[in-house]
Amino acid sequence: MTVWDVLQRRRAGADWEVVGAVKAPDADFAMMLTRESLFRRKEGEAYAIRRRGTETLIECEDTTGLGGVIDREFRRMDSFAGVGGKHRRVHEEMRERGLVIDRPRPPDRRQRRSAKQAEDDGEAARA
Amino acid sequence: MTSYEERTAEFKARIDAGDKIEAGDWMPDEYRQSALKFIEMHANSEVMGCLPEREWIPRAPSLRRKLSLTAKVQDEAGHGQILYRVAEDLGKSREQMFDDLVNGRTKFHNVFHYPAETWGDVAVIGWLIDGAALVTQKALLDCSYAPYVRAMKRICAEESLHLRHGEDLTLELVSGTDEQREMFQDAVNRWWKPIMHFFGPPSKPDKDVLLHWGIKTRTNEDLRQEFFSTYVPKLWDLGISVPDPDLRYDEERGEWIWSDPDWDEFWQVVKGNGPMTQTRLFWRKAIWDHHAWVRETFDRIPATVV
Repeated sequence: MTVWDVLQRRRAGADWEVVGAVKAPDADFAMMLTRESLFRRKEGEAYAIRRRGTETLIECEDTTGLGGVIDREFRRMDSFAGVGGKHRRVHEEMRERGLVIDRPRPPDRRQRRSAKQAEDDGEAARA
Repeated sequence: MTSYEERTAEFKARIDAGDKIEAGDWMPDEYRQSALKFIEMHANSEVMGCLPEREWIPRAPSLRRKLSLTAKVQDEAGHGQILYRVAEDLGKSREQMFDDLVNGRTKFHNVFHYPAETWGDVAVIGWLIDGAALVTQKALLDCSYAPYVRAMKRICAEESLHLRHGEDLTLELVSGTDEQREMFQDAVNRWWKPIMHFFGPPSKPDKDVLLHWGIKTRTNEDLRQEFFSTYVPKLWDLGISVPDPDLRYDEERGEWIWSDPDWDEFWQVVKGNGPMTQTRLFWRKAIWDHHAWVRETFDRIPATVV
């Protein structure tokens, strides 16, 4: 079976970039496999395939199906929007019920970042 | 004429300088074999990882949960397909890799050798095991083999979605009835040791061939520490304990202290003697055999010239 490199254009006017490869007996199968395995979530503005070792790009002519019937709400990040807020609410509820385990823990990432920033700012000021 | 040793030294210098290696580039045999073995095991783990969660699709408590779990399982199978393709370019066919997997000749990740007993296990797999996987997979975004990096970009994006799915399930259970909280706590208690095993034993960086070639970029212990820092405080915030009496964050040393799990069990499991190893391999082989007609049909389609 033939190897087809898969290329993606992230936005209109952007350069093509290789994002992977598929193995298929012909271009039609390769195009179908590419869509199902690499573009299920409407990644990019367009995609194309190229038989490995050749220069000819075969562009997907109809991208309307991209992220269409197979892109259901439960596949996308926004279907779980608000999980962070929900975590904070449940945390508060557990605190009120006295269930939270309060033990030493590392500073959270934001604190670590701002401490690092303050350190960098200090060094910059000294310089 | 350049000797093999000189070419290898030049290749190593490229990696040390941060260069990425493409499939068509010359590479030492040791690099090719190490990368192939590592990526093949990753691919095996993705397809074997479908099985514990697949068992819960018919038993999911709502249609929304069923759809979201189905989409996740489909993603994991897709990751396997993408990774087998990357591994194929290193010199082993997908058919051979699958044959080796279903006949127990190659390995898959330790966590997929264990049973998923309750819906609490589905939450633990979705949040903590996918969380552990994401910690290790994000470290691979900087690995030396370019086709693997491209695959990991896609896989990490999808794993982030799975993490939200797992965290959402977790929050539903811990804020639910006492029975639901207990179900989740029980799942954490059973899965904690396999999660500690997931990162592997503390390794010696100078003896780790994967680190040497930049296929892995961080040590097992470094990744385990990141996992602790990210997930243990979140569990504590939800009032969920961790079944390791020694686990604590040492503020002076800036690191987590933890008890060594039973590494004999880890070695037994990865050698194929886990509680669910034979059942899962049986299923994977049955599916592989059942779908043989698809592969045979594809093989009969003549290749076209473009």
